[in-house]
Amino acid sequence: MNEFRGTRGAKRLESSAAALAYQREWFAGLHARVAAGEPLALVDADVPHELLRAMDIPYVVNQWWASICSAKQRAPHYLALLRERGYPDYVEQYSAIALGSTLEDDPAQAPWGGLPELAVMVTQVWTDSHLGIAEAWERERGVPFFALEKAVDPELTARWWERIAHDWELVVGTARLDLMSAELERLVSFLESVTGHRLDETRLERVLELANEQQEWSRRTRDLLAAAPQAPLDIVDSIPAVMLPQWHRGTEWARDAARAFHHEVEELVDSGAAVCEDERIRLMWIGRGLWFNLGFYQHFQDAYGAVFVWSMYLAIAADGYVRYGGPPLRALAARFAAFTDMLGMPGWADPWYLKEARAHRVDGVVHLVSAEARSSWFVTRALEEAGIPVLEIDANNADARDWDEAAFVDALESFIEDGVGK
Amino acid sequence: MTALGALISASESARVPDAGVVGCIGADVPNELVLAAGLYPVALRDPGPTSPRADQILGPRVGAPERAILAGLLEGRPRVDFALIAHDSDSTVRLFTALRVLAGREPLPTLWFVDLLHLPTETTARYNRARLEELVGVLERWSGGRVSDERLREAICDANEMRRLLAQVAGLRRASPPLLSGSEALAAISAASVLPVAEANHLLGALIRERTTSLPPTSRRVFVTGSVQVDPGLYRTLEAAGFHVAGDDHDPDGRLVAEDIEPLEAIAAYYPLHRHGSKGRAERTARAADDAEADVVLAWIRTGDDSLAWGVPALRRVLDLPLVVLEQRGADPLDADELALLV
Repeated sequence: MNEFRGTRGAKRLESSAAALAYQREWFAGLHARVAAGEPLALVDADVPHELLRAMDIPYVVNQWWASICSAKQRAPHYLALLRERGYPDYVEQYSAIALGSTLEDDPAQAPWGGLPELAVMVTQVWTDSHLGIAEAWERERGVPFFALEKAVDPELTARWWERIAHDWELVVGTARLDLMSAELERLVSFLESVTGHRLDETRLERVLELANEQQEWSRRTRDLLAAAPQAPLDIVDSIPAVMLPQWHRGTEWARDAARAFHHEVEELVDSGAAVCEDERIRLMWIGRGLWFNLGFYQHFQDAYGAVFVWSMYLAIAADGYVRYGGPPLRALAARFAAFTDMLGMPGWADPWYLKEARAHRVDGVVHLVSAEARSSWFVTRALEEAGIPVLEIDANNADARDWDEAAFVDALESFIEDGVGK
Repeated sequence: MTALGALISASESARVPDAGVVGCIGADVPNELVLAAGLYPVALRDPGPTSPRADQILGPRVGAPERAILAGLLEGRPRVDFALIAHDSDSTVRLFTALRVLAGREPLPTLWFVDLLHLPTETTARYNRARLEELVGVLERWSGGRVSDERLREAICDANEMRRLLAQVAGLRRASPPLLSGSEALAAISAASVLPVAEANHLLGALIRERTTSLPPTSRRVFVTGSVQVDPGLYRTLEAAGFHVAGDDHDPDGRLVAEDIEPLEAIAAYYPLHRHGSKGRAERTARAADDAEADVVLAWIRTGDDSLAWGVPALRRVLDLPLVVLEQRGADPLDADELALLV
């Protein structure tokens, strides 16, 4: 097995440091809450967390926890534990690592004290593996689960990002919204029966308002960064500053954290700050974060003036989440019924990435084309046809076992020297 | 010529109409509706080789059969006017979503996605029923005709007859001693899927009547689960090594579309063929392996069907037989070490 250990990226912003500190404190508090008898849920990133928020059910995001395990270099071990029990360790690792972490045979090694005991899991079957993973939670840990369908609309809507906030009924499609709205009603009943918590509909409306406000701040931040002459920060800072509040979506803290991040970025832009004074090349990272090796993103700044200015996390917060109007459950369904389409379905994802690449004036794109990436060929084609060079890296974002640091650094240096830097 | 030879020969020389041919991709495309619309369904089941371009477009984690279907459609083979793709798996979803975008630039058949979902819930059943009604509208647009209840009932009766015959074919293979080999049964199923129903039923009947003599004895009986076999390669390898493939879990399960209720409701009750859930699937597989008097179960999982591997521990729990698991399989045949695992 590859014993590669990645490096941490250097964070510079107060808002990212504050978000990390908050997350650690919140997670420590979770242990206490669960010990006191509160039910804890594990939820996939693409299910409606807002519902649990409105039911006052604390939750941990499956893929966030995987990112922590990966950053702590524990993911290969957790995948090996799954393999020992007969599960595949080569498919959808990002969604499976959390289960492996609960099989930890050395509790002292568990990141952040380990995942507290779970009462329930919620997933969406956006790949065939996700139901299998949920069933494995039930089988291995006795955790009951609820699965949401992932329907596919036969029709495509052009330039979804311009319309989805208001015209979501049209963009997402009535059939899918009918399905997910009905499923959310079932989910509420399921959660009520498992946890004893009740849905507070007034609170749900407030949660949705706060979530919209949070993403509006993200949109302003994204637009600021796109227009800034030089990048005042790289994605090692922007990812935690956006995503940790994202996992607390629908709270005042999260809304305020998004606003604080915006204000900090605004000050940096106004002062002409640059994360790399000698910025010569602006790079876009398409794909999930490389959690076990965030230092990779900053490796090329000093030698080449190459800055990763874009990741999907801020951009999808800006374009993908806001939903105005409509009955609360239906608006919530509209946030998630097409969520994975935006990031990974041909016809949805490729024009959006191209739009973002142009807006951010990137010189080149590094494209993580893992096995799970569902639109890779189309994304690369769209960018290259627009004259934007693309380097494809075939790797898994959370599983370091096949990461070849020397080869990928070499490939990116060649890409910079011979491709974008020419 | 033997009845099986006649069946295969007929499938190879099948003449398709000049118009109205619908390529059907996935087990959940309701052929009955296509027939009732006056169109000609052809299962794209054994599509030939893939191509570097199709491999690039879909990537290696999409199943080889779906990549091969894409390769074929991009090269205009087989000639079909329309294509229905069902939500059988990630691979068929990825095939459809790729074709949908490619259709803007390539001369591809007119597409539609049959989004029948698989969770065993009332909400999913309602969604599926609406999708079937939508599909009727699509087929009526394509054909210019109407899907009447009468025509749909006729199509259901014909398709049910084929299901009964295919169940008998599976019985020949399952018999002890067997009257039909696993690769022969697979060839019969593949051939029947591309023939007009009446012709397929006639030839399947002849095959069943003809097979009354036991095959030579084999060393062990194998039940195959996991990926659907689209070509006879695996079964032939097993047979050459002295095994008999006594069954697989994509055999007909004996269910029929109800003939005594409103026909679209009957279609909605029948499709999709399988509901999600590894526990239920494991229990069905264990029962079928027992019925087939298997000595060993082989879980053969093709790259692209990797999610099936999440169900292996559930299968292991309910199975009283030895289980051999071979994952991430490509076109490579079993080697001697792998065959030895089955002994």
